Amino acid sequence: MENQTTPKINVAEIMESIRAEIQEMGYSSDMLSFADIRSDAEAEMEMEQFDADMLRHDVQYLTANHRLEPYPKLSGNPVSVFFKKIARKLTRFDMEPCAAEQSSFNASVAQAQQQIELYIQESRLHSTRVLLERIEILELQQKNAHIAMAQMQAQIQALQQQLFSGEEPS
Amino acid sequence: MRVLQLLSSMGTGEATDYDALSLSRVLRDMGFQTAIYAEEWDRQMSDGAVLPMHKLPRPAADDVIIYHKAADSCLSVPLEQFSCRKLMIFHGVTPPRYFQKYSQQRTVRAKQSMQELCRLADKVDYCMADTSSQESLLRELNYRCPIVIRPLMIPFSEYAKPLAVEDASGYAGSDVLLLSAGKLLPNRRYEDVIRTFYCYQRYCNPDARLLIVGNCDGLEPYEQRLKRYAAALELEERIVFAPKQPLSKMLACYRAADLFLSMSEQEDFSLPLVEAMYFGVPIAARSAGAVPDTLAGCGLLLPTKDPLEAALAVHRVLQEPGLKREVIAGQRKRQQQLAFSEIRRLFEQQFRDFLDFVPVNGKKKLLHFAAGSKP
Repeated sequence: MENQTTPKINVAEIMESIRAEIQEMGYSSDMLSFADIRSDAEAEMEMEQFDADMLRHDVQYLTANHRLEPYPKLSGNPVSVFFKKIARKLTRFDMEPCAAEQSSFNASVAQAQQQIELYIQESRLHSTRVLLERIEILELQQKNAHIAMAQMQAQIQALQQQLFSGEEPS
Repeated sequence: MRVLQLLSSMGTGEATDYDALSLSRVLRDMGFQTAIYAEEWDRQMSDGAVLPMHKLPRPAADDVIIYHKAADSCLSVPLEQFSCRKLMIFHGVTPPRYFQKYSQQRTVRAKQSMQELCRLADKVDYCMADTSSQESLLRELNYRCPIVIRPLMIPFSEYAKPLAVEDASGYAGSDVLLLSAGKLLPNRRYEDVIRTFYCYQRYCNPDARLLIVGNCDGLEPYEQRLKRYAAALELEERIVFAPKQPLSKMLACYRAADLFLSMSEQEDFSLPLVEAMYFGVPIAARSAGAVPDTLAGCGLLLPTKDPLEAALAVHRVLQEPGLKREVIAGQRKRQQQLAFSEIRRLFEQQFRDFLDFVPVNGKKKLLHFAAGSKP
């Protein structure tokens, strides 16, 4: 049933011409990333185990977004924009220090997160190195044990031969 | 001899429901006494079609249990405790990592489902997989029993019903309508669908609309996040999120749609894709999971997840009548391969093979399948 229906469409060719079109027209797929929209559930989720990817993702997000923009671009009709500008000017004395303080706090958190991530990476590297050394020692011991076993087997065989041939073991 | 079908849930309008109900009909026609048992089911389903799991009788040695293993389903009754013959129909599983950000409960269920799948490797006598990618997964999990491939049995006659006027007018319009349907699961990457639509609307057709139909099924945070993403991209007026529709309304969606778009990263045998084929809606789908197996060479299989490339590919299909015709013709051919009668014939043959392979005394005829199976 998994027979392929005769494919007449050359997808590779279509995609090639699409890529050429994108270059020619200067199209861009720049847009807000889905990662920038946080899930409500993420904060509530209890993690069962360490997830390096998730930590990386969070550190990246914190680093990229630690600065609070007190004056985002205003949108709406000109009248509402005008009143919003007035409201901004009136609250400026309060907003700017608040935003600066929050940005500074966020920057510290981001830095602390980076430090934690680096610490984890270094610890992992260290434990990996220790484990590798231990594996090396164990492999060496195993090799020696194999050699010793082979020698003992040879001795046993020699002794058995002597026994069967009726000779006194030396 | 009885044939007992077991499911975790039933009546949610999923592909598994169609399959179980169709199999029930076919098995009865084959002369077997059969029943469906489910842990959870829609109480509005016709009387007697599904029985609660606690009413499952103790199977006799000559009985057959058919277990539909789907998504994050898990049985409360351990299958291995039954000494009868066991056939597993594998519809796919969703890896737990997809749920981690959105629901602890779903993550746990997905993990349990995966554990059950691993545990059953040497407990079932025979497997039917929807696609070859699922067969490969079972092989990777060390399933040594024979595994045959059988696509879902879909009663297309249900789709031929005429539409009520109020249903038909729902999404119709002169603007291009892209459709993406199926449960709102993170593995289906609806964010990529939105990104593709963003590029399509920006560069190809500013008046286009996108209709996303599906229930979030316990993953509300994902649905909320998608809606917020659409709003952040200023697309809230052009994207409609609709919950799963009753069949009549769903048919109206397909009839109104100009193209079916899927950017799924991990997909089982996809019922919406087959439905789109049936309604002659051209498909543009990312080549991932079981999508290539479902499409089997038809539709426009996107080798990329780049939203801009996908958007321009969608535009090509909609703008070039020749290409659109070719896509639809290929889909029609594939849909005929998936016709109820074809799959029914295949199932009957495979089921007889199964009965032959696993006789009542339990001694499997290993040689019988030596040539056909892939150990």
